[in-house]
Order: sequence, then structure tokens, then C-alpha cells
Amino acid sequence: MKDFWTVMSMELLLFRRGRASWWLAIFVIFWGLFLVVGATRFTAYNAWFHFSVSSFVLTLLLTFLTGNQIQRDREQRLESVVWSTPMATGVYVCGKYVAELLLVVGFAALELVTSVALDGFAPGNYPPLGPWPYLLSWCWLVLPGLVFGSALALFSTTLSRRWMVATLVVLLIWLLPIVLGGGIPDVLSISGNFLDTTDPAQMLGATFKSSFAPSAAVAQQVVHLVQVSVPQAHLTTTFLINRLLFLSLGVLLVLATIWGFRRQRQGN
Amino acid sequence: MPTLSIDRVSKQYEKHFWALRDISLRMESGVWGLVGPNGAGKTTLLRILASLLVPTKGVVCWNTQDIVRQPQALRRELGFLPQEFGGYPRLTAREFLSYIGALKGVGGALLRRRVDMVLEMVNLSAEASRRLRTFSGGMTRRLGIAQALLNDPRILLLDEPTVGLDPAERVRFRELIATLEGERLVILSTHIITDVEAMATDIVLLDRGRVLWNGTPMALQNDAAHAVWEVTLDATAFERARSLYQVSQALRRGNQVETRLVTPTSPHATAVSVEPTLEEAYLYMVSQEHPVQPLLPSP
Repeated sequence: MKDFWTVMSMELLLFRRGRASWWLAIFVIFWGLFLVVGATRFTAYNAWFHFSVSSFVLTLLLTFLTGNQIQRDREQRLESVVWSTPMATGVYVCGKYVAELLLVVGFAALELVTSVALDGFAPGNYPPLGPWPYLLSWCWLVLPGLVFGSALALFSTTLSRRWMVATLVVLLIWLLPIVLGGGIPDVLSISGNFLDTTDPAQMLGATFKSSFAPSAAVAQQVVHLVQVSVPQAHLTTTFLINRLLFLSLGVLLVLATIWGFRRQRQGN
Repeated sequence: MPTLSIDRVSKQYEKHFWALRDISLRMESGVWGLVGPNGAGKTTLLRILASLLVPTKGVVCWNTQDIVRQPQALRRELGFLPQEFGGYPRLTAREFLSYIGALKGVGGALLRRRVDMVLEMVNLSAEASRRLRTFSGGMTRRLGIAQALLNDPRILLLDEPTVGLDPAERVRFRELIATLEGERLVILSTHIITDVEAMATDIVLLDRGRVLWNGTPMALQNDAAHAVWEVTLDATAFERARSLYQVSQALRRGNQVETRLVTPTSPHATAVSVEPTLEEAYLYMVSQEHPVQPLLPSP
């Protein structure tokens, strides 16, 4: 356990010393602001779609930040020193993985906090949605994506020894369902079911899409529907299997990284 | 007593390329100099001993425990400086050493003491709070030596430890190795024979993946007795001699060249047999495997 904390805290320290952290923090704050001002408070009836698209972009971007933890030790010519210590292989891989996961979840949480905070007073066509639609959608859409994405990036970068390979794999998995449209089952799409338009708020919104400024009563009704049905209405069996699938794949990829890295540690 | 036994170890990298062939050695405490020409297999052997490479054939045991099956027993007592060593540029020397020390299982107040101690040993105490990105090549090398010593290792593997060190630091390093207390095994891979001469109690000479010679430095010099000749030649005769024999030293004095030649037979009527240095003994042993090719005649 002590080694786990050592590896993890070193990863966090190295990230903190980097310059990327500040730029990324600024970006996610703006992204949270955009979600509220440009989307949820503008067309609240489409809240699920906005949450889905926002999560899709956020998980894709944050996944790109991860994966290089073990390969970086090679690039810094440290692998022989670190790998010849008595530290257990699984502890090393898990320490690196959990540290990066904490970092990306932390940045995603910053986006969430920004959105929830701004929702209370930002101008818009609709009243504030309140924190729950943001928080619950974030949990269902962002967390599984980050768990899977971080593991995928770590696995592909460590085993291929090239960050570019991880980039291509991540792009493929994130973008293929969009490129193929309906050609891929929902259960295999990392973005879940963001084209699902079955919640009551969306169905009501479909009747007045051309109207940008609904009456106060209608706006209040839409927000109420969002509060009671987003994300609950979208938690279909397919969606739940999809989330479980990507979370399981994340765990399997971490285990596969441990296995692959153990072989690399012996010079294979 | 710490014992490393290497039993018929071979390492194959490609189908027809064996980096090591049937290496068998029993190494006990002391400073072992691992020498040999480029491509002899020194780094491959050190990486196997550091449990970073699995041999294709053979067994390596550290105090009777197989290091492939039970690498942890070795790793707990190992200090390793690889040929290529870097660090996290954003960390200070102290932070970096604390991290490596923690991974080696040293913790708390002991770790802080050990970090201070090894920084002092390699003369980096004043630079402890500097980021590694500001370190020169020689300072990084000294940091590498420091990290290898953090856990007070019983087995210390050093691959080209003095490359990049200035003469003063090289001398300091030799003193450091000489003054390491307690029973431990130090294996030093190097091209610099004077380092081996100053530190090693035993020498292993590797060539093309095989052990060419193994014994004490004095025994190596004894085996090369009567194989080094001193002679003064004019420039033309020297050029001819150079094409036929291994030259270990040549001092030009006007038209004359005072030279030392490594060859088992007298190279010249006026040549006088002299005591070989360790470097000359090494050249003699290697030249037995690689006869000097005559140079092309000058136009």
C-alpha cells in the first residue's frame, strides 16, 4: 500500500509541476460555462443531448492527457532504475493508473462545479435546472468514459511504447460510432445514447423547437420535466449494459496492462 | 557472505545472435570489474543480474534464490546504475532520491538520513534543491550513483559509472567504492581500465558473449608477462610496427618514437621486455582473440 501511495503521489506531483494543468483548468471552466450559457439554459428541453455531447468532448479530451505514465519513465531513461526496485508490478501500474484517473476526474469535476454554480445565476431562456440533472448525468456519462479511456490509453501506450498508437485507438473508439451513424449498436458506443430523444422534456420541446423564448409557464414545465426525467428516463437496459461494459473493459485493460508490463519488466 | 552464482547463462536476441554464451561465474563479496570490447555482452549480463532481462538459458542465483523465479529477494538488496540514466526534470535531486528510496522500501527518518548521506557521498549536497533539468551530464551521473546507494545495497551493479565525470569526481568515485563498508558485491562494467585497476579485486573479461578470462588484476598482469615490449624506433619503423602489433603507448621525440608493443614474441632486435600494465594485459588478452589486422600500406 505504501508503494501505491508513493507512485500515485509522484504522478500527481509531476502533473502539478507541469504547465498543462493551468491551461486545462481554464479550458474545463470555459467548457462548463459554455454548457450552461450556450446549451442547457438556452434549450433546456434538450438537456440530455447537451450533457451527452459535453461529456463526449470532455472524456475524449481528458483521455488524451493520460496513458503516458509508464512510457514516460522509459523516455526519461528511468525504467531500469525504477523497475529493478522491489516494488510490485501491479502496484506500480495501479498507482500510475489511479493517479491519472484522479487527475482527469478532478478536471471533469471542475467542469461540473462550474456548470452547477453558473446554472444558478446565468441568463437564459429557461430557469435554473438545479444541480441534480448536471450531477447525475455527469456520473452516468463522464465517469465510465474516463475509467475506460484512462485504462485504454495506458494499455495502448505502455504496450505499443508509442503515445501515437493510443491517440489513434482512442480516436477510433470515440469517433467510429459517429462516423458509422446507426451502423454500430448503442451498446458499443462510448457516448452511450445521446441521440435518444425519449424523455418527456425532449418530447415536449419537439413541439416548440422554433420558439427561442417560451412563456414562463412552459419554461417552468420543461425544467420540471428535466428535473424528474434526466437522466432517469435514459437509463434503459441497453444504456446500463453499455456503461457496465465500458467499466468492465476499463478494469480488464488495467489487468492486461499489468500482465503486459510484467513481461516488459523482464525484458520481453 | 553475499554470493551471486551464474550458471551457464546465455541470452539470444535474434535467431542467429547470441549476446551471451554459456557464462558461468561465482561472484562473492568484493569489487568485480567487468571489462571487454564493445558488444562483448557486459550490459546484457548486468541487465540479467538486475532482473531486467530473462536469460534464454541458464540460471542466476542470488544467495541460492533464482532471480527469475524470485526477483524480489535480489531487488530488495540491489543498487543499480544503468548505462543510460535520467530523471524527472521537474523534480529536485532530493525529491527524486526520496521517490527512488521509497520504492526501494526505505522510509521515514531513515530515508531522509540516507538521502542526505548519498548526496554527500557524491558531492551533491549543495545541489539538493535544484531541479534536475538544470543538472549537467556529470551531475546526473553522480545522482545515478547516489540513487544506487540509497538502500545500502549488498549487491551494487554499476554500468559505466564514471562516464561523463571529471577527473576529480572520478577519483572521488573510486574512493567512495573503496570505502563502502560491510560485505557486499560490487560489479563494475567499464571500458576504463584505470578504474578497474584502482578498484577491482577481481576481473571478468568478456568478449563476444563469452568469458575470455577471469581472475585477479595481478593474475591478469602475470598472464601477460613477457608480452609487452618497449622499443625506440624511427618513424618509418614505427609505422611498420604499428601495422603488425598492438601499440599500447607511443611518445614521439623528434624523429624517434618511444613505444610499447603488446605481442608474445619480440617485435624488434632492440626491444626490451617490460612489466605490463593492467591495460596492456587487457589488450594482450583481447588481441589473442582479435589479432591486429595489418594496416593498408600508405600511398
